[in-house]
Amino acid sequence: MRGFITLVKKEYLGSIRSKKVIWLPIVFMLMTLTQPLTLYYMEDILKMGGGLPEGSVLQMPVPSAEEVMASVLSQLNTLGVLVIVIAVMSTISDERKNGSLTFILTRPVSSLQIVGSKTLAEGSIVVISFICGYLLSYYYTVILFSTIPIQQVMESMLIYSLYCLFIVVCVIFSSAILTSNGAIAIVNILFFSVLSIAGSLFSEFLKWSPTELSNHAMNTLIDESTHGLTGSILVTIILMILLLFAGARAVDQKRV
Amino acid sequence: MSFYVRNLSKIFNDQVVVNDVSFELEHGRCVALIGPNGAGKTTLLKMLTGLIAYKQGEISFQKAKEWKQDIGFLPQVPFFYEWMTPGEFLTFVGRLSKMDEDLLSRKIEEVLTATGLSEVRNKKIQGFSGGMKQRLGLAQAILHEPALLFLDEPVSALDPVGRREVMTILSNLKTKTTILYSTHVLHDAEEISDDILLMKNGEIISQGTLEQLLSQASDVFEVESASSLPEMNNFTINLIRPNKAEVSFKSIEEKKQFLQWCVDQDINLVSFQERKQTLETLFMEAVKP
Repeated sequence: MRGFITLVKKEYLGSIRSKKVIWLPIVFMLMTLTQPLTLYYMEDILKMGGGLPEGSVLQMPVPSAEEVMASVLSQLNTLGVLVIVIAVMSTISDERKNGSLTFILTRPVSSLQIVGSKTLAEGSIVVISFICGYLLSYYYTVILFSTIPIQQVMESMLIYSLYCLFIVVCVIFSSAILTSNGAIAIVNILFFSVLSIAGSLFSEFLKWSPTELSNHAMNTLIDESTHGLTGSILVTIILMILLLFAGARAVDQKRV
Repeated sequence: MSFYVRNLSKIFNDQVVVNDVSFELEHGRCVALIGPNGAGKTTLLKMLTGLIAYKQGEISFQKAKEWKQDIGFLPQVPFFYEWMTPGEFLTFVGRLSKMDEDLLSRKIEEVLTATGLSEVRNKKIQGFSGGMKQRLGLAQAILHEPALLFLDEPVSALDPVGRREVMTILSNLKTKTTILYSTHVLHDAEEISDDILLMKNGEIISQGTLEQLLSQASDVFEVESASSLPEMNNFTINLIRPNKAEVSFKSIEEKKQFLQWCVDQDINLVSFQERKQTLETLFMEAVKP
C-alpha cells in the first residue's frame, strides 16, 4: 500500500512540476465556456462577421438552458477527447522509452500498482478539470439563459465524469502496449470516434457501449430518459477493470 | 546466500543473445563481467534483475517472492525523472523499496556524500551531466543496502577522478555486498574484482577467480637474445624487435626442441620467460575470431 501511495504522490508531483494541473483545467474551462457564450451572442457574431446584406432580418431560436448544457457536452465529445488523449498518452510509453521505468521495475512494486497509480492520478486530474469547466459553463448558462435544476446538472456531470475516466483508462492501456505516442493518439481518437458514430448508427445494438455515456449525460439534461444508462455504466466499469489488469500485464511483459 | 544461474538462455527474434549461461555468485565476492560489445552482458544483467523475462533456465534467487527487495541495479544509461531533485528521487525509490523512514533519511545523507552529490541534492536532475547521473544511479542502487548489486558499466561515463571514486565506493561495499558488474575497463576489473566472467557471443567462455585466470599457464614465451635472432621457420613466432620475439608452443616437446635449437644455433639468450598474463591478454586471446 505504501508503494502505491508513493507512486501516486510521484505522479501528482510530476503533474505539478509539468504544470499539467494548471493547463488542463484551463483548457477545459475555455472549451466549455465558449459554448454558452457563442450561443448567446450568435446573432451579434453573425451580424459582425457574417457579411449579411443590409436590412436582412435574423430570427434565431433561443435555445433552452438545458440545450446549451447538452451542447457543451457534445463539444467535449470531440475536442475534449483529443485533449485528454494528448494529456495522458505519454504516461507509460515515455517512461519506458527513456528508461526511468527501470528504477521502479527493479523495486518490489507490482505492475498493477504502477498502472493503478497512473490511473488514479491522471484520472483525478482529468475529472477535476472537466468538473471545473462544466461548472463554469453551468454558471454562465444560468446567467445568460435560465436556471436548470442542479440535480440534473450533477447527474449529467457524474455520468460524463465516468466517461472521462474511461477515456483515461483506455489511453493508459494503449500507452502500456504501444511505444510511439503518435500511434497512441491516433488509435484512441479513431477508437472513440468510430465507437460513437457506430453508437448512433446501431443505437439498439450498442446501447450499452461506453461512448453512449455521453448521450446519456445529455439525455439526463434534456428529456431525462434513462434507457440503457445502468447497462452503459456497468459495461464501462467492467471494461475499465479489465483494461487496468491488461495494462498491468502489458507492463510486465514489455518491460524494457 | 549464494546466487545461482543455471542454463539460462534468451532468444530475441531467432537470435540467441544469451546461450546456456551457468554460474554462481558467492557471498561477498566482486565479480566482473567482461566481454566485447554485443556479447550479451546487458541482456544477461537485465535478466538477472527481472527486467527481461526468460523461458529457458533457472535463476535461483527467485525462490523468494519479494527478491527485488534484495537487489540494486544500475542501468548502462541511467535516466531519471528530470523534474525531480536527487533528494526527492532517492526518497521515492527508498520508499518503493519499503525502507523505514528514519533509516531512509540517514541512508540518503550517506549515499549522497559517498557519491559526491550532497551539494546538488536540491537541484533539478535536468541540468546534470552524464557523470552526475551515473553517480546518482549508483546512489539509488546502493541506497537500500541490497545483498546483490548489479551494475551495468558503472564507470564508462565517468572521468578518471569519478572512476577512481566509484572504484573506491565499490571496494568499500565489497565487504557487505555481492557485486556483479560489467565493464570494458579491464585495468579496473583487475584491481577490484575477485572473480571474472568472460562472455562472448552470449556464452560464458571463461570463468574463475582472477588469480586462477591470470596464472593459467600461457603457451606464449618471450625470448630475447643479445644479438639479432636468425630465421626460425620451424616455430610459430612473432618478431617484436630484431632481438626479441614471442614464440608459442603447442607442447612441452616443442619448447624443448626450441631450446635445443637455440643451443645448436649458438644464440646468446638473454631471457626466456612465460609471457605475463593480464586480463587484457586474456581478453584478446579469448575474443580472437
